[in-house]
Amino acid sequence: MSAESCSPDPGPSAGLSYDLAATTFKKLHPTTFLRRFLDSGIREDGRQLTTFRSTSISVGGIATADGSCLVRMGSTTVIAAIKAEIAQPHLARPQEGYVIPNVELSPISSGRFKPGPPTDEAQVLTDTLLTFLNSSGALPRKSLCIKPGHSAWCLYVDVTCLSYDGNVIDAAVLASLGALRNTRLPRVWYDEDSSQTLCSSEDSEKAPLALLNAPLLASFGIFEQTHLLADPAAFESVLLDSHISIGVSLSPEPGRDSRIIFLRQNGRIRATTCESGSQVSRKDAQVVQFCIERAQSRCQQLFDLLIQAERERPSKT
Amino acid sequence: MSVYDRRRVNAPESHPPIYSTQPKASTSARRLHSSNHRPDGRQPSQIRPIFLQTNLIPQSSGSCYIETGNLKIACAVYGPRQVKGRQYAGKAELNVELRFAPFSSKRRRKAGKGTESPILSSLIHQSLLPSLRLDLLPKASLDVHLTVLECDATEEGCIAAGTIAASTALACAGIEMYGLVVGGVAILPRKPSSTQETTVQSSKADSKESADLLMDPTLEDSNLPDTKQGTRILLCSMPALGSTTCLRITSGTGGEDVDQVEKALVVLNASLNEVHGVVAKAVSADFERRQRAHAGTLVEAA
Repeated sequence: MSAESCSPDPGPSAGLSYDLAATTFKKLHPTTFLRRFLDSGIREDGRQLTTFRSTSISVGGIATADGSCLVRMGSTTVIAAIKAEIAQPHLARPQEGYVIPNVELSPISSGRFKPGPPTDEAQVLTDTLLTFLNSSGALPRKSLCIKPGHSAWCLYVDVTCLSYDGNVIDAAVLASLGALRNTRLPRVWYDEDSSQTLCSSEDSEKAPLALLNAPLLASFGIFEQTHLLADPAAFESVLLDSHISIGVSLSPEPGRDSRIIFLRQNGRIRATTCESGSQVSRKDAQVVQFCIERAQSRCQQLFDLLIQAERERPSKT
Repeated sequence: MSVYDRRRVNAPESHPPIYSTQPKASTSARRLHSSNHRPDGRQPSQIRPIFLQTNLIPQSSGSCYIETGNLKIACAVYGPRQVKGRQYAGKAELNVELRFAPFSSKRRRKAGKGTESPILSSLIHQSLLPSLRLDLLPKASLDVHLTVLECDATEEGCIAAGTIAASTALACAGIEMYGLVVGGVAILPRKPSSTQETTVQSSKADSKESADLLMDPTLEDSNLPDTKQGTRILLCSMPALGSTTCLRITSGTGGEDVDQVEKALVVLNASLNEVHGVVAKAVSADFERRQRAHAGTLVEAA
C-alpha cells in the first residue's frame, strides 16, 4: 500500500490510499484544503456555501424530565431537558421565578473534551444561551411565580452535547425551545396551613408553559474575508476568522412576523462571495442584511420542523 | 446551593415539587408473591428488550447507544491515542468515565460531583479489562466515555448496560479483544418470614419457581417489599469464551443460600448468552456498514 500511495496517479484499486492521501492533506494543510473546496463553491460535506445542515428533532424522549428535546444538525447532536423544582423567589424580585440554563460539552461528544469542570467553550455557550433566553422574553419570569415572596418555579434547562460537530449553539437553542415547549407543569398552590407549596399529582391537570414567542438562532462564519458560510461544521469553524449569530423570534400564530432579538458578531464582516459563484464586493451592512434574511428563513424552517415533530409525538399528558 | 460555582449558572436553593397526594405507584405496591407479574407486567425471568445502535457519534473511534426499557446510555470510545508525559508502558491504559446527565433521574443531579460516578466507572473498567488485548497497544490510551441519559434501573443495571455499550463501542473502534463482554443483573427476593400473612404464603407456593429470581430489575422492582432486602447479583462475562469478568453479589439482611445463588447464576448465564447474540448482531451490522462505506470510497476513487 505504501508503494501505491507514492505513485502519482493511483489506479482504481488504490481506493484506500487515495482516501488516505485526502485525509493526510486535510490534516497537514487544513486551510488550503478548505480554500480549495470553497473556491469551487462547495463544502466538504457536499453543501452549498449558504446551506444549513439537515436537521431532525424529536421531543419528549426523556421520561424522567418534565420536558425534553433531542436535536440533530448534521452530526451535531444535542439533548435538552427541563427539570422543574420549587424555590423561594429572589428578595429583589419577589414576583419572579428562575430559568437556569447550563450547557455541558461532555467528553463523549468529541475527543477534544476531557472530563472535569466545564471548559471555557462550555461556559461561553452557557452564557450565550442565558443571554439569548433573557433577551428573547419568550418566557416571562413572572409566569413562574407561585406565591409572591414565598415560592416560585425554578426551571433547570440542562443541555448536554452528545456529538460535537460545530455550531452547537444553534442546536442548543433549538433543543431548549423544544424542551420548554414540551414541558408540562403540575397544578400548584401555596398551602397557608402547612406553609409549603403543594402540587397536584393528577396528570390531567398539568399545563404547558406560557411561552410568548419562539426564539431561534442561526449562525454564520466568514472564511478569509471572502466566503460566507452558513452553519459551519467543527472543522470549518476553527479556520474561520469571523462569526455571526442572529437570533430571530417568531410569534406562534400563523401570519407571524419575526423580530431580531439577538445579534453577536466577532471578527471583520467582510465577505466578497455570499452566494456561490457570484464575486461581488459588498458593504458590511449588506453582508449583515443578507445574513439576517437567511437567518429569518432558516428559523422559520426550524420552527416548522419543531411543530411537525411535536405533532408526530404528542407531548406528555 | 451552598458553594458558588463561577463556571456555571447558579441556581437558588430549590427542592423538587411536593405532591399533595401520594402518587399511585407507592400506594398500590403489590407484594411480588401475590402475583406472578411485576409492576411493568414482565415475567420474573424476563429481561427487557435491548436496542443497540452503533455509530451514533461519527467523530469518535467507535460509539454505541443502548436502550433497555427506560435506561438509556450513550457511549463513545476515543483512541487508541498517544499519552504524553507518561513513562513508557508496554500496555495501553484504559480509562472509563461514566457520568449521569443532570436530568437522568427522578431527582435532578447537581452538576459536578453529583453527576460523576467513580464507583460505577471503576466497575465497568474492571469488567472490560480482561477482555481487551491492551498489550498490543503500547504507550497508548483508550478513553471510554459513557453518559446516562435516563435511568430507571438500579446501579447494577447501569453497570450491566454500560458494560454492554462500552464493549460494543470498543469492538466498533476496532480494538482487539478476546470476546464481547455483556452484563446482567438479578435480584433474589428475601423470603418473607413465616409469621407473615398466610394468603401471601399460599400464593407463594404456586409461583415459587418463578418468583425466586427477578431478572433485569427496574428501580420499581427493587423497591418492592420483598426485593428491598433481597440479594443483588451483577454478572459480567464473555459468553463466547464462557469466562466471567466481573461478579458482584450484595446480599441483603441475613445472607443468601449457596444453592440459590448458584441457581441464579445459571439463569443469568443463560440470559447473557441471549444478550450476546443481540450485541454480536449489532457489531456485524456495523461491520457491514463500514464495508459499504469503504466500497463507496473505492467507487469514488475510481
